[in-house]
Amino acid sequence: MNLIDASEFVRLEPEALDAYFHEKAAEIGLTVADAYRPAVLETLAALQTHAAILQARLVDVALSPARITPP
Amino acid sequence: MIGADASSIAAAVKAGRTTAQAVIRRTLDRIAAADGALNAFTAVFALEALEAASRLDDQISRGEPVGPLAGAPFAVKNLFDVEGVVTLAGSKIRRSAAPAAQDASLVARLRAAGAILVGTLNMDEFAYGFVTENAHYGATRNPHDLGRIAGGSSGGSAAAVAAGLTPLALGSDTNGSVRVPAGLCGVYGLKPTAGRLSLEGVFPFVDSLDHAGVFARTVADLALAYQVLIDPPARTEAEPTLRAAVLQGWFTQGASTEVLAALDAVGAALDADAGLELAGAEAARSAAFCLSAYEGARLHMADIRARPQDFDPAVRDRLLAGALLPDAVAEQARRFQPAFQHEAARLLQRYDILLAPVVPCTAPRIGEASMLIDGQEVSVRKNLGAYTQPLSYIGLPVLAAPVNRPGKLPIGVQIIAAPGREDRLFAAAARLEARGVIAAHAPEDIRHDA
Repeated sequence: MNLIDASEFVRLEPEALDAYFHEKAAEIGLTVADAYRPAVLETLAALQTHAAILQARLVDVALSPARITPP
Repeated sequence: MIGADASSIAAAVKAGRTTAQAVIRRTLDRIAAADGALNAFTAVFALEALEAASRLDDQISRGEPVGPLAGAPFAVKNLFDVEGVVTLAGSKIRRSAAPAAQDASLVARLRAAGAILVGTLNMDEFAYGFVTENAHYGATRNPHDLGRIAGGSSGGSAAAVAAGLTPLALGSDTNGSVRVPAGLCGVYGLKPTAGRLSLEGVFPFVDSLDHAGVFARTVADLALAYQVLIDPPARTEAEPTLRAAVLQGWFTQGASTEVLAALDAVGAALDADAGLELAGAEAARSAAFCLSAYEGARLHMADIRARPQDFDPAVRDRLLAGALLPDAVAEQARRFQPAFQHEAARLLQRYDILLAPVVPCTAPRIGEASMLIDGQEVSVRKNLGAYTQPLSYIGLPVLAAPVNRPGKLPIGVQIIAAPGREDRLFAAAARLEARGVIAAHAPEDIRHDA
């Protein structure tokens, strides 16, 4: 799971995001108490939205090669 | 002299019209009277400050030279190291840390210039927030309305300066943490170009985005403090005419009508062009959001594994989520920086100054999870940094300036320049201040029973 790419991550549906949450937490040795889990999952979903916005822009930039070189 | 600016205090102390000890005694009295209501300070160094003032007065009486900030009181966000004091960074977790062995570089520079440290200031835990509603140390209240937030994460710094408790304060800005509280409290806040101010002795949040910054109530004080803090000295000769433009698109989306009116007033005073868009701003904001969660989580990984219950819940949830973010997302967030820098550089070749609001609204109420902006209900915590995050993401220098609105809740405007051109920020701010377009107002008397 650590090697999940950004494209896969932004495409995870809610159920798959929940599964990813558990697998990733186990992989890195993180215990997320039941009391925290809904808020953490909600925050992870918000990060997923931000990652999707970023990725869409990177695709635009990639389609305009002149833009990726700083002046 | 309480409520006076640092330049006037230093002039009076050097000329013998008052003493540093008298200034500090009155400062301490004012803090004692007002901070119960504000909750800006986390520690007050009364004895040490009076001793420093006494040493300064002795120097002056012996005719020895003193620095440009002689006798001016200042305070620092409690993530700056102060020799002999535990650097809390707004946390409970660091209460057991060893006291700092030496002052942070910027604290040392202010002291060397004759300024006198009077205390440390409240903040969001580990600088991760825009509200300074700290679960361990309480909320810092806005001096203009004690029922409202001061903003964050340097909320104590902005509130202390706005209330006239100190003329200067240090803060830090990773995503807007100097500019947001400056805007909401109605004071000036400077976040210089990335890397221009030393972060030595400053507890980190996001290494790739962290900046130090400073608060003041006048442009002259802000410029004087910056000259003291920076090494080598900054360029001071901005062009006589500044080409200005108002950023729209992302930077006005969701802004209240009164924020847009304030921005228009500032733009008009600088004959600014309107309708300019900085392409990619939304993605830059998202990149900053992801990087902050990712890097912040890795900085605190040991503690979020071992003692998550000891974090402020609002911070803990974001750090835990950040720990789960794939590495590939953080790599993309870094990869977008040069492309967005390029977009900003294109605009800053045409214009010396860009203008944008600091936040979409006036200060929300303490404890409010959502707020109404022009009839739309939006999240407080998610929206306060929308206009500041894209700019710190690429390290541009920004001066947050209070629009002149006496008797009303403060609104701030971001004045933005090309990297290394802080001189243009000060020149634009000085012109706006001289024309009465921007000004820091003393709040109405602070209610001590709140």
